[in-house]
Amino acid sequence: MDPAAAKLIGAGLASIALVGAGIGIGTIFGNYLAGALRNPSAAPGQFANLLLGFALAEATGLFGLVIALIILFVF
Amino acid sequence: MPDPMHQFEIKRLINLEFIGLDASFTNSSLFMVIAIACIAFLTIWGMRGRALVPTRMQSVAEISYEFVANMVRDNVGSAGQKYFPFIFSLFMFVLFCNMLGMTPYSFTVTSHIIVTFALAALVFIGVTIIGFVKHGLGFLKFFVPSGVPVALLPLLVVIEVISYLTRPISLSVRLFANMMAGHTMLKVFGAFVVGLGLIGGWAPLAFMVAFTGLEILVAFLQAYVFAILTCIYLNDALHMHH
Amino acid sequence: MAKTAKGRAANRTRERNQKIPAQDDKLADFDERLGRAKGRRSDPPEATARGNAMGTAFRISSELVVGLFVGGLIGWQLDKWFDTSPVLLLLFFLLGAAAGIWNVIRVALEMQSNAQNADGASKKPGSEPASR
Repeated sequence: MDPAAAKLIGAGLASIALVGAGIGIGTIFGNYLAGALRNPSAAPGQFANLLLGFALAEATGLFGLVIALIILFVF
Repeated sequence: MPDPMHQFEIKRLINLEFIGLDASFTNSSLFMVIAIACIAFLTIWGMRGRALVPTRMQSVAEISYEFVANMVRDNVGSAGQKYFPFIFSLFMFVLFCNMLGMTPYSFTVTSHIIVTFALAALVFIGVTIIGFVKHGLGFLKFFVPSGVPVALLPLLVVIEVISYLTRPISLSVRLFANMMAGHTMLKVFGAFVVGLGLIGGWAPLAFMVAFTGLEILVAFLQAYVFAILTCIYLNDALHMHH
Repeated sequence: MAKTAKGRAANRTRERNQKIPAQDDKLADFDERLGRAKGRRSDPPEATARGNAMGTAFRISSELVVGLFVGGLIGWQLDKWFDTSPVLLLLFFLLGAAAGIWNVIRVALEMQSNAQNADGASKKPGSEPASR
């Protein structure tokens, strides 16, 4: 197949990494909610860890998106 | 299946031209005029009686006034009182444009990115100018977060500037995407109802009823979020703490 | 009793004017109390989409996506200007992602502090059971 089509298919496949980001963010927030409902007074203390976990989960998903962009524009 | 995107087409009603640019009176302009007429009717006719114990229309006008006044006071403080007319006009315009779009055979003005972008750009440029007028060049200190090691400072300033520049785009895209997606969904499920006919059409019809209710809520909510974000950005410009 | 209507009107006016000093005192007292109450009321703290979770949800989701988009847009435009390879596009895409995540974190922190303020305001001293 010609390279242009291969690039587009490659970019599409690389974007599947965002599935992992979605699952990761959902897991982190779900666990935070479950813990907060069990022990509401301890919840604000862990809020910082929640945001940290969210940022890291999002970041790994975005790496996949960066690779998609590299495939599209660099090669 | 009929085309769900057909409802967003701009139709020229009266052909006009202004210095070579197309300034026709379109269906979009018509519905903007209708929205302004409704707002003017509500506020002017409703407040004609000026009764101490309000009539129904006066009550609606007073409720909308108080709602926006509370929003401005809670989010901007007393320094924001002089921007109340602008925020009130903005909120009522977006609200009525959204709500008018829910009536059958109408056109939703805010489902076009150019309209929402014009409003968002107006807010963004206005708020930035207010910030510079009030604080002079000290407004640039807004982009320098406090308590940060000097080595990281250039990177963080660039990130802060980028996050400031996302404001008009997120304002406009949020309103545009919600309105367009909502109305497209309404049309698609409407087509399902007709397509499945008398036998199977009840299920999508029930969904349509619930979804129309949701869309009315979203219409109000998007106007509210637009206005409250304008208040927050105004507050950031007037009182510069993050 | 005055004999004419004009006389009765004059009597009424005189009585009203005599009552006014007492009312003046009450008004002055009210003005003073109003002034003190206004001084107590300070500007309320900043608030995000207070109480409206769905509004905040719309805001957060759009902030994240738009951050990426704006970063990419700026990077692409700078690339066309300086004619570099898509290095700037990728760099600004990452910066835009960081800006988007930073906006989300900022909104979440404001929501958190609002929730804590609301909690702290509603809790009155002595309403919690004494600890051992």
